[in-house]
Amino acid sequence: MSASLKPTAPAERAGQQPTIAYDGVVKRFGSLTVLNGVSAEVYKGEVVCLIGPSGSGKSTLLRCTNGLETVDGGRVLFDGGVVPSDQELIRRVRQRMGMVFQNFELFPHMTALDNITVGPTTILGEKAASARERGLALLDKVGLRQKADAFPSALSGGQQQRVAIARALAMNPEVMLFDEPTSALDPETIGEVLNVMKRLADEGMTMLVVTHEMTFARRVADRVLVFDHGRIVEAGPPEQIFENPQQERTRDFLGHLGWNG
Amino acid sequence: MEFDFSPITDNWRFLLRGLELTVVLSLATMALATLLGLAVGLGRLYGPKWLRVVLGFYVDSMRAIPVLVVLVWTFFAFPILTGVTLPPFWAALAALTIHIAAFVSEIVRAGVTSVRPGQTRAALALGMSGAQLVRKIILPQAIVRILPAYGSILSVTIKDTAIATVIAVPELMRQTETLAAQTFRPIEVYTTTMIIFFLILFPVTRGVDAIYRRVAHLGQS
Ligand SMILES: Nc1ncnc2c1ncn2[C@@H]1O[C@H](COP(=O)(O)OP(=O)(O)OP(=O)(O)O)[C@@H](O)[C@H]1O
Ligand SMILES: [Mg+2]
Repeated sequence: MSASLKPTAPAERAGQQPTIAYDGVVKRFGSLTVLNGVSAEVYKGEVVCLIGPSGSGKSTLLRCTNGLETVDGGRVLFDGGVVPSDQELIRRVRQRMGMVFQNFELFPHMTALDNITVGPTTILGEKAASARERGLALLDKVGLRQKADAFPSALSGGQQQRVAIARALAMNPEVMLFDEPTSALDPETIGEVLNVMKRLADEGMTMLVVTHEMTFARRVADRVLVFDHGRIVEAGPPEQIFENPQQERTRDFLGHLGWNG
Repeated sequence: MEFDFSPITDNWRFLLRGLELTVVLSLATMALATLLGLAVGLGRLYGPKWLRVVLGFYVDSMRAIPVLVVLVWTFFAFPILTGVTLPPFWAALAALTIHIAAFVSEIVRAGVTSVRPGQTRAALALGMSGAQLVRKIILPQAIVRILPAYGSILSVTIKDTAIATVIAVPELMRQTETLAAQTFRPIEVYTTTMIIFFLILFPVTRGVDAIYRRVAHLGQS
């Protein structure tokens, strides 16, 4: 059974240090409290999916993870250390985390290959030739080797998002953060992006994925966190969340999406 | 009414010398104003508070003062205040540059702020520094986006060089006036100069638009 092959749940990982840990994270925008005491862990090799209604704070939590937003209370820990707010120190943390955005955010003035190599060459100081070689290999991995010299404007949404995943992977991250990577895609191209993500998960990449793709969460996630109003209202393996949700809020949310087990 | 274009055919070298100086003054002004405008625009965006205030005051002043006044002040008042006398060409170059740079800085600012915040997040998430973000990601896109506005400033600059005639810079306008006065043929001479300006500026604006159409996609995030 595939379920038995899945990495163990947090309770069984006592003593192991989480890759990412949220410890009572609070985030406010003015008088609006967007994160209201979020505590959770992501362990090495785990795929954790974050689901919940629009505006519940999922993107904000991801941005607090790599310091794109600062927290107003609690702590975010990466690899055992508090994610720093100092601009120089945070850069080193960001280099170890990949991030994929809803709107791809490829750099429009660079070819697909340059989008992938710009990080390693400018940030890590990698030699152009070696970055290029790795870049082409990454394009191969996402099935877009033949698009190396194409500009983003000439790529479909699904292709752009696959390049964006390759761009993040080029920094050799220890964890990948995905913020609704398929929400801006045409239905036909969602599958190609989810396949790439599934393969990453199978290779053992640690992933935190905000998604509305319940089928993906059901099949790929080790754990699902249900978010509502800046809190985690329920956390558990996908079997529990999708087939036997314990919380009213989870049932409401899944009901809204038309999910019926 | 009789037209006589012989003053122009006889003196075309005289006008050509003026045209050459107009082109040199335009290009030099544009080059310097581009560098200064870039620095001012970036200073207002990313500089310390005091610098932003100072630069904001400079830009507002230039928007409020006619370029002719800046030119005349630079040539006549500046030497009295400082004891430094600028030759006419250099006074014109300085005044035009200071004036035009303010407008360049405004489009630089608009271009930079129009690049959507997701691009900044993507660059920072990779681990880029602020300087790398601006140099590698923001500015290239901003430059593409401001091309049409930059083309307009370029044509304004070429046109504005004509005011240098008031401090006797021998550019096209000055040569035109001299020739018109000497030959008593103002209609023919001024019409010729009008056509020359049109023949320069029309391709310039069209050219910039054509370039922009080809590269626009590089700035569309
Ligand atoms: N920079 C900001 N300034 C002010 N309010 C913000 C800012 N960023 C987010 N918010 C607000 O915080 C709340 C949570 O936003 P967030 O983007 O984290 O939600 P989300 O769960 O990702 O929603 P969605 O599914 O729509 O992406 C929203 O009400 C949003 O308007
Ligand atoms: Mg979001």
